[in-house]
Amino acid sequence: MSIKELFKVNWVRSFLIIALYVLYAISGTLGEYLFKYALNDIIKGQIDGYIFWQVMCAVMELAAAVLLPIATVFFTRQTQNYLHEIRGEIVQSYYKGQDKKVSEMQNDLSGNLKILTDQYANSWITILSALLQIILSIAVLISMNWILIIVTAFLAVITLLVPKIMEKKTAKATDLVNSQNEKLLNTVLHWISGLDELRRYNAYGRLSQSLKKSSQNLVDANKKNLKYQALSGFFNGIVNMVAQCSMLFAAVMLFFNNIISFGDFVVASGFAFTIFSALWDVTEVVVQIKSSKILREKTFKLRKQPNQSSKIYAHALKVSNLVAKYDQGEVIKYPDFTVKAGEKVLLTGDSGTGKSTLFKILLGKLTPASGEVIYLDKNDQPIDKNKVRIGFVPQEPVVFPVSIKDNILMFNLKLERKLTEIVSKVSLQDDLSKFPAGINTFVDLKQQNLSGGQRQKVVLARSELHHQPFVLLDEVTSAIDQTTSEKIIDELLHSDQTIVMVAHNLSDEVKSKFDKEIKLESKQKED
Amino acid sequence: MNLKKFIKQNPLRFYVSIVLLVFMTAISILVSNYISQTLTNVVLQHDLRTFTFLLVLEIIFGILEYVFYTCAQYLNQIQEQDLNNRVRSLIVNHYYDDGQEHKVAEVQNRLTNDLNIINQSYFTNIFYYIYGLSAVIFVLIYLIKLNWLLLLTICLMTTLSLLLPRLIEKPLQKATEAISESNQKYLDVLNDWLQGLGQIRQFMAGDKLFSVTARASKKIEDATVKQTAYTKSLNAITGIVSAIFGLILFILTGYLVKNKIVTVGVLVIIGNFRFNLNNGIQMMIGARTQMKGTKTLIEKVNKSMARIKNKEEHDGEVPAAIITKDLSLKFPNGERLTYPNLTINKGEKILLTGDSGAGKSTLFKLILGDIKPSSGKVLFKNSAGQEIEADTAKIGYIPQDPIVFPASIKDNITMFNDHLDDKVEKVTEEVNLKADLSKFKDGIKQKINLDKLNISGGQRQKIVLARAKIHDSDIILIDEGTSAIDQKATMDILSGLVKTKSTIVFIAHNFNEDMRQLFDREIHLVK
Repeated sequence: MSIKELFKVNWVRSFLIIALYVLYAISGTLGEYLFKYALNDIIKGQIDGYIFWQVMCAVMELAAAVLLPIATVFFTRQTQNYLHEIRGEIVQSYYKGQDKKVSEMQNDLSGNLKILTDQYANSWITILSALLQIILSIAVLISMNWILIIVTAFLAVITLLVPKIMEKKTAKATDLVNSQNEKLLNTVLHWISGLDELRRYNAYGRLSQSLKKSSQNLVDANKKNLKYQALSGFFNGIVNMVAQCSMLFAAVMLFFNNIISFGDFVVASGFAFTIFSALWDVTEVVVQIKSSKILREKTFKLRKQPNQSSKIYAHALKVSNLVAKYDQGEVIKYPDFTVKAGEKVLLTGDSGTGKSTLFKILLGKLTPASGEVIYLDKNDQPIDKNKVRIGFVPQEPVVFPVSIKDNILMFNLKLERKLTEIVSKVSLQDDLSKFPAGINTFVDLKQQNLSGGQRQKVVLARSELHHQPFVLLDEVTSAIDQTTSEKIIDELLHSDQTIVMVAHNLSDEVKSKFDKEIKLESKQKED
Repeated sequence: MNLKKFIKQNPLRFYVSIVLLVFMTAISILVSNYISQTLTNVVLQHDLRTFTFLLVLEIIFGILEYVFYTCAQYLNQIQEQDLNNRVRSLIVNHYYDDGQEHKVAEVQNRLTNDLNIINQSYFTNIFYYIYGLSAVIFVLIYLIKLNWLLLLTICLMTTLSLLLPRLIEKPLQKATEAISESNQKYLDVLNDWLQGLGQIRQFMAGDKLFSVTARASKKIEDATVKQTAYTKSLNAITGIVSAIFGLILFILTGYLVKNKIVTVGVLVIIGNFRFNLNNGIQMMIGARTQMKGTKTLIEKVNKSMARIKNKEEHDGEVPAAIITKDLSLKFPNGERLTYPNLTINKGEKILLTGDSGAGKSTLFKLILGDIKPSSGKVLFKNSAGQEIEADTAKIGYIPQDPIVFPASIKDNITMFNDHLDDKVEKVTEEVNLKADLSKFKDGIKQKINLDKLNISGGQRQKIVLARAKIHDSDIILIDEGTSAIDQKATMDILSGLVKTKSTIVFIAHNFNEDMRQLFDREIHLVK
């Protein structure tokens, strides 16, 4: 988030906002300034002049009362439009980049942006408003006497140096609040998704404990943040006040020496108050802006679009000396193997032997501890690891809240003509006939209107429809009955794709249809 | 959540902060203005000594003012945090006790964003309301001592100003609610789509992702602008009225000065009073309106934390046999499932098979009472053969997507019930989990990491099977409980299961002949 970009969102509106704030500042200043003429008149006993000037003041105040709200609403509109752009860019960069925890992404897109808006964007408008007031007030004071300006300037410098005291601490504290907020969201995710299970086993205690802990951490982080904010506000306030009184003293000296009028003296203190109050606002707000620095940098990084080199489909691969290491120290050594273009490979092994992990490595989601994977394109040429495209159907079928048709097409209408053929290949047509809306049935993620097996079929249809040259399939028929599973696998084996499939409990007949089987054994213990 | 609960959180701290706030306002209005009033008259008389003395007093009181304000605000804000902590506990309690399903995004929103909104829009406003109220009261006190005519005029103006917010109340309330709603929907959309980011990337459906998230974010952005518009409209109206009233007041005071009823010093501070009064009124109005605007949200949160009086009484008996009569279920999308009449006797081992979508998982949910049938019923018998009202919580259930928690494997098996600790070892042997445990650095104490998954699909299933076994239910319903476990281990586990006395219904597709033989009979559902 930057002020330059906020400006660029809509030049016309930006200038309009600035113009409104300028007018607001002018009318506010005049409202105060014209009072001096009213005062000078009343001292001389001229009630008519007094009334005239008071009416002028009131007109200025009316203008100010209307201008500020209008300006604020325009500014909010601009800020929100800016946020819209930022959100779009962040989602784009998620799409093009690495995987991230969903709760982290949610926090990036909502909670964090709100903090930035409050701390950064809104702060700049305060700065604009304050700067205008300062400039106008200085103009007024100069018109009275230059000494007033010198005193003002001197005191202003002191006022501005004070915020530096608390800067670093407040920035860190804000960031801590952020991360604790995200941790709380994560804790909720892990425990509330299992609420039924916890109820079944009366395991309230642990649920309560975990959430209490996360909540306490967040509360503590907030309290720390508040403490630092209070301290910095206090320092700034004291300095502001001492400055104002010094100003008053200077004005009195000038009046006693008959250099300025009584009206000037009274109003000068008022403008001194305006200047120092505006300076205080600026210093407070500068602290806020600075404390948002870490978060702003994080958001900038998020919006950066990674270089998207065009990706090349793998058709074959070679694995040698591959070793994977889990966090706990567990080590998995994979046998060397080659998968040629068009081959159908069955990957089996006991639970825990690293089948899913192997897939993660092949997909580039996990870095192996040692060894390498070489990918070959359709001409048997090696492909750069960062440019490889390889198809993957995960164990957990992922569907979206759109129609079954769209879930399969993934919004690519060009593939629509192949839809019926694919649907029968994954034996989905009978399921579809049971739904009144057929293939246009909306997938309801809340009510789960598709069974586990149906979701797997949809995800398989999706993969098959897009006919990727190389596909990794992880237990993709675990929720589908034996007969249908075998039928689907049979269809897969007849395609020209290169396939590596993890499956259990296949009949010998089906197993034999594969070109080869790679069996992962329980690992040898690390010495 | 209301003012009473907020105070109760720490009455001493609350009252101290209020006292500090009131003292601060007293200094700011009574003391400072009196000094200013006297100061102006002293300056007109060219009395330097008295002037200097009064200036020093002003500095001292000014510092006290800042100290009191900062402390009061800080105390108020940390009280908010403490209340949040307590409220989160109560909400989690309620969500557990109410037996309902709760979406993760909704709970996340409730525990973070909603509470933040209530803090900013309600409790912080109580603080500002009291601040404003004190200011108004002290202004009135000062005026009483000063001049009755001025007092009456100002009172009349204040009363009229207070009636203004009624114009905007309802729409503002709706607008504040709309922000919370659209925020939650946004989190929902993010959750539904970002959890499938891998698939979206693979099938290059980025455009759809962008358009869906953009649409949802636009809703929050628009809601924010709308709420600002309503709030600022209120400010504008208040400001206009204030300007007009100010004019009237100054003219009145001018006449009083001309006729020597009050001194010129009063003219100088009556402006301050107008500012303080204007500020105080705006604060009260603004605070009150925002508080009213938050009412709906507070009611929602109150409902979420209300103590459940009639908790799910686990009154029923332990069931051992199941009978279904004329069971059928109609889905919201029109699809209909009909079941044959089933009799599952005590101790039977039943294999439940059928095409995907035939309703196997749904049958389990009907038996457990998680879904109500459209027609027909489920009956239970106890181990003596008598028909009973069953406590379905006593039925063991392993769903298709078993949930594990971020705790140790042992805790995941015992579900945090230490009384079952001595049975753990035996049970891990029975489900062939022992071999897997030796692969983990901490063995059975290994904490499961849900963010960086450290257990395989098969290991997860074994843990959940162990969970069901250790809790010794008379009936166990297992949905695809071994789909990710290899053949040999599955055979071992099944052999163990069928030897127990429990009634078991097992949904599976991929069983070979040997495995099928283990069961007493097979129920095959067709669509």
